[in-house]
Amino acid sequence: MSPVIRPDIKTLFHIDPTWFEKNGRDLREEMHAALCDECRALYPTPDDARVVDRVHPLTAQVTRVDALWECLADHCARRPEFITPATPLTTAIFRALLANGNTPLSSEQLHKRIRKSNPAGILRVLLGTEIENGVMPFEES
Amino acid sequence: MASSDFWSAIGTTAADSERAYAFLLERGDAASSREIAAHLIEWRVREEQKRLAEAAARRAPIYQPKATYPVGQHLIFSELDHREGVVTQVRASDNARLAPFQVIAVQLEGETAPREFAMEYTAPHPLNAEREGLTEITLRPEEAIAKYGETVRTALLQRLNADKEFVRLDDGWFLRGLLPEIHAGYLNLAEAAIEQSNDALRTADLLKIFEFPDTIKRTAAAFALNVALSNDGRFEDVGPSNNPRWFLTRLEPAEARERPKILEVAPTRQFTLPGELQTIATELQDEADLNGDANGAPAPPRDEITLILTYPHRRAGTLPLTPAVRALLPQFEHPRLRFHFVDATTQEKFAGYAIKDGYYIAGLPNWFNARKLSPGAYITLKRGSDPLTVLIEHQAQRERGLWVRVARGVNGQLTFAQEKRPIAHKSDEEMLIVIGDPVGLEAAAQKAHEHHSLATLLEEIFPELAKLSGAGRVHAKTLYSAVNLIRRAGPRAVLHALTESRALSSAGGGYFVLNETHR
Repeated sequence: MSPVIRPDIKTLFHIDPTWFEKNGRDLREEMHAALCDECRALYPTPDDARVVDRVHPLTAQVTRVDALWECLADHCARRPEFITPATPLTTAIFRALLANGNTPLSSEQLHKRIRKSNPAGILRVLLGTEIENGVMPFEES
Repeated sequence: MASSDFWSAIGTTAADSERAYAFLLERGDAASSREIAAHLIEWRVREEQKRLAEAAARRAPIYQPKATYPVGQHLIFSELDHREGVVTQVRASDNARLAPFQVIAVQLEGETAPREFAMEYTAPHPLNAEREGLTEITLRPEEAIAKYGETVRTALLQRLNADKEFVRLDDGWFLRGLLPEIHAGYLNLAEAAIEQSNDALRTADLLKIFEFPDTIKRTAAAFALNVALSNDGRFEDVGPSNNPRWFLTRLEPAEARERPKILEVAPTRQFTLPGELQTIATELQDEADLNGDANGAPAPPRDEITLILTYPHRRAGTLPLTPAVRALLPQFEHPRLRFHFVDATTQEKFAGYAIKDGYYIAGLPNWFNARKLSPGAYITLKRGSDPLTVLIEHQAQRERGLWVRVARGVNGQLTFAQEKRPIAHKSDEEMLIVIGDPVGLEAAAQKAHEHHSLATLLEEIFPELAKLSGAGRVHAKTLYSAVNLIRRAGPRAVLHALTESRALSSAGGGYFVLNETHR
């Protein structure tokens, strides 16, 4: 039996897609709701967005990815209104993970990206009694 | 020539931290940030030259997303560790959000499946920037160190400070994992040794007392000991720059630990004085004129300086640490420098402390008392035989009765009288004031703090001093010496207040008189 590790500000979190299925919610709907007006005009519904080419910001390598995610990561997330001081903390955490392509982030890293609360405060929210937007500790398989 | 980006990036990356780590590991000894920065520059220049040579040998262009490449073209991918690949296919892009571009399939060396990369992609991208760094590095490493060393050092310091693997002491850096253990027993021994010698001891002296195993490098042991001592509140480095000397804080005199209240002075503006008063201000060396900044006024090196004692320093047992006085001592970065005064007449030796942020020298109450010095006494400081020795003399003379100004506090007012008093030292006649009643002066000082501006205070003191002079004139130096009995003020502030006073006028030669309307 593996030892129980107490989560700390370095513990990684991600969005668990299965949580959305189990809770009758649609992750792609949520992603679509986070799009900026410009991207929403391009993809009026989640179904309009399929797979597109994404150019890596450092290597220029091209990969085929979900258009919603490409828009969020490479366009919407770079706009100031994506996460503002008025954005609720749980929404800001969810959006920061979306912008990171759901690559797991720790409370410390999330704090650097969303500039809200503090790493310990974010950890407390993530470990709260209710799971918000499917954000859970990341377990490497 | 490499781009400025190439040089400004040195010292900023994780690879640089790792290289600094390896450098210290190989060296097995602490290094200054300058040495580490120089090593990084040499290393990065060598790496860049090697990379350029490899790229030139392969004769393949560096991949840039904005360029156009035909099938069969060989390319170098700088962001993929400079691996080489060949273009195998070209297709149109598929992304409605982006302007159309081409996508090339590239077979990279050592990989089985091709990867795709953007081509004719004109959107802003770091790889589309002009890559001057790849053209040539014309600077030799020593030239690069001279030109970019300080920039690299600044960037490096940020990284090293944030990395717990590195330990810093002043500008020395070492690896935490390589520090020899300094246990509590060693520190207790150090405390006993310093107490017994009643003097500051060098790190090397302390190491001789400990019996460290021979396997431990002396310099590494010295660094570890310096780190341990600096982290223990019992000890303080009171040595010159780069020459730690350890002393016990509990053995330091109170006036060296904390700035005496009587030396505290309110910050003042910089004043321009008329020529005559400017000469007087220059003669009166007083740290109160520094306004907490001694850096802007470097003093030429001198071997000797004569100071005129003022009442605040007489009471505190201190002397001003002006740039000229500081030039007699070695450079120091820590809060205190412990050195030795040697009385030029008696050869008596005693400790002095130069206080960096307080701009004063402590350790003189007994010396002042034994010589019965009054404010106005001349004190000469001379460079000693070694950097940590300063000769001190007070220009003694046969004791004789002299008619002098005697200050007292009466009902909270500063008063002066001409009395015959025994004086056994030479002094500045204008500044000599014998203290008749220290307790009364204290009460007058309290009252002066509560109620008066400097100009008002001078106007109040003036008649008291003028009555002692037949002509009703008072010298600016006398007023400066007198006002400092009850209010700490620098010469420039006092002289400026005199020039601003409506009640007082200059009579030439540094003397002031009361205007007719105020008599």
